[in-house]
Amino acid sequence: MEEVQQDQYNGKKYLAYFGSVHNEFRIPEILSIADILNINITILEEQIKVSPFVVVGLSCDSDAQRIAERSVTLKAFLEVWGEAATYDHLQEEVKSFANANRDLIEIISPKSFKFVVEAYGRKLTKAQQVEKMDRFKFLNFSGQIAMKDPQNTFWILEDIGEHAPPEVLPKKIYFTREVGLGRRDLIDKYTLKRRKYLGTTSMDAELSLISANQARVRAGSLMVDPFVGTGSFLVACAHFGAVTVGGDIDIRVLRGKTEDGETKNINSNFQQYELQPFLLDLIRLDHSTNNLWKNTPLFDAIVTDPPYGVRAGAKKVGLKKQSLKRLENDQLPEGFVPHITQTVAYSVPEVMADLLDFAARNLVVGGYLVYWLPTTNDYKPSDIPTHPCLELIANSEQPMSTKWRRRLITVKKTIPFDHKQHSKELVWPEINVDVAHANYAMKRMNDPNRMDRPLQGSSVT
Amino acid sequence: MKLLTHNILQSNVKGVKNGYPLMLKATKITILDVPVNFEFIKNIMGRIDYQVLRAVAIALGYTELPAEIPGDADTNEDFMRKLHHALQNIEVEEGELQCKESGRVFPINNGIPNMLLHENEV
Repeated sequence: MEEVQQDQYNGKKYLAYFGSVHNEFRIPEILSIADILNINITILEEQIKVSPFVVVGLSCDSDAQRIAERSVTLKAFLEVWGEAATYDHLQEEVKSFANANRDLIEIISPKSFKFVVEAYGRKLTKAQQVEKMDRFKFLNFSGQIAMKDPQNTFWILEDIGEHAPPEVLPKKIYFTREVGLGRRDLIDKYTLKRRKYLGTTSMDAELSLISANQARVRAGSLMVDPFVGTGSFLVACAHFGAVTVGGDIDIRVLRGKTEDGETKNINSNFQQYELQPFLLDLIRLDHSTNNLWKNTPLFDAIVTDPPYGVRAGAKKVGLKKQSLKRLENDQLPEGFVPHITQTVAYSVPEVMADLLDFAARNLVVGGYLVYWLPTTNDYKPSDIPTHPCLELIANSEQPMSTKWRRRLITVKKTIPFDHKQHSKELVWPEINVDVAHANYAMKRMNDPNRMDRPLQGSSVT
Repeated sequence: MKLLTHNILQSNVKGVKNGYPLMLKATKITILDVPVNFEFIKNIMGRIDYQVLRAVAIALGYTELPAEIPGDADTNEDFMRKLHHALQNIEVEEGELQCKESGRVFPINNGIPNMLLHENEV
C-alpha cells in the first residue's frame, strides 16, 4: 500500500463510515479484503483514529461495493459530494460537485431516494435531521422519496466527537451518496448470545469475523485452528467458504455436552448456521508436539487464540517434576498408568514459538497465520515473535483494561520452509522470555483489579 | 475422520523417522453426502498424496479412483467428484491409526482421532 497525501491524490475519494468500535482493526480489515479481491485501495488519512470516518481512494463504485460486502467493521462506503466545517460551505461544495458531475446527477435525479442524517458523538432529533436535509433541497431530484429500498441513499454525516458538550460544533460535515453497505448484520447472525455451544474462551462474532478476513480465507481455502475450543474461528472462516479443521488437547471440549437431550458441540454449531459441509474434522492433539502434520505445505490459513492459562489452562503433554524424578532410563515409574496423560504448563512464549514453527512448515507460501497475543501495557513491538519464513502484515491492539491488552497479529508466509535453515532449534536456539506476555497467566492472576472482559466489543453478557 | 485428514496427519512419536502415512483400520464407517466443492478440490489437489489416498480408499471399499491423477484433473469434473468422495464423504467413525515404524496406535472414537502422545513419547 502506498502512502499518499489526500490533497495529492487524483483518484476517486470515498468515505469509509465504520460501525466498529475496534479502531485499530478497521483499516487492516478493509485492506485484507481489498487484498483478497485484488482491489487497489489507498488510505488517505491517519489509519488509527477515534472518529468512524476515514477517507480512502478507490477506482470505482463497484470496488467499494465489493469490499463492503465482506466487511464487518464497515457500516457503509460513501461517495463524497462535499466536506466542510459548516452547512453553508457544505452547500457550496455540493453545488459545485453537482455542476462538475452533471452526467451523474442526470442519472440519479429520477431515481427513488432517501436521506439519512447521523452525527458521531450526538443524537439528533427528528426535527434536527429534517432541518439538515432541507438544506439540500436545491438538488431538486425528480425521483420519489422511498424510505424502504430506495435506489439511492444520501448520508449527511457530522463528525463532532465523543463526550462533546452540546454547544460544540461539528469538526466536519460530509454530504455523501451510499455506494455499498457493510455486513454489520453478520455480527448479529453469529452472535454468541444465540450460539448453542459456548465455552469461557469463545471469541465474539465481530472479532472472529475480522480474524477470518485478516486470514484472507475464501471459497475453497483450507483453514485450521490448533486450539479450537468451541470453534469460534472455524465458524467465521466457514462463513467465508473455508473448509475447516480444529484441534484441541481437551477431549471434553471436542465431544461437547448433552443438555436436555440435545448434543451441543462444534458440530451442532455448524448445523445451527447450516455450515456443516465446511467442517472437515476435529482432532485431539497436543500442539507442542509439532510434526503431527505431513511435512509439506497444507493449509491456506491458521486462525487461532492460543491458550495462556487465565481462562483455559495452557497445557502440553509432559511429565510433572515428581514423575520426571522417578522416570529414569526411559522406564515407566512404578504404578504409572500409561493411558492417563499428564500435562504440564505451557508458557506463552513457548506456545508462540510452536505456533510460528507450525505456520512456517505447514502453510502454503502466500498463506496467513492470524493469532491473538495476550499482553500487558508493557508491550513493545519487539515482543512479537519473528520467523524467517513469515512476514508481519498487521498488528492491532484491543484494550481489555488499563493494564491488559490483547493483540491480533497477522503474518504471511513468504518463503518456503527449508529444514536446513528453518528448524526450530536454528530459529530459536533460546526462546525470548523478555516479553510482556511472558508469565502472562501469573501476572494476570496476581492483579487484584483484573478484568476478564474486554472494555470494548460485544462480549457475551 | 475423513480420508483427507488421514492424508495430512503423521505419527510424531519421539525417534520415528518416517511416520507417514499412518496405517488406517476402520471398524465403523459412514458414507456422507457432503456437497462437492470444486473450488476446494482444485485448491488442495496438489497438496495431497494421491497414492496414499487411493490405497486407503480401496482398502475401505471405494475403488473408483483412477491409478493416476489425470492430466486434465482440474477441469475434469468426473474425476473431481470421485476425489471429493474419497476425501470428504468416507467418514471413519471408529477405528485406529497406526504408526508403521513404532507400532503406536492412535484410536479414532466418534470420528475424532486421538493423536495425543504419552509422556515418554515426546
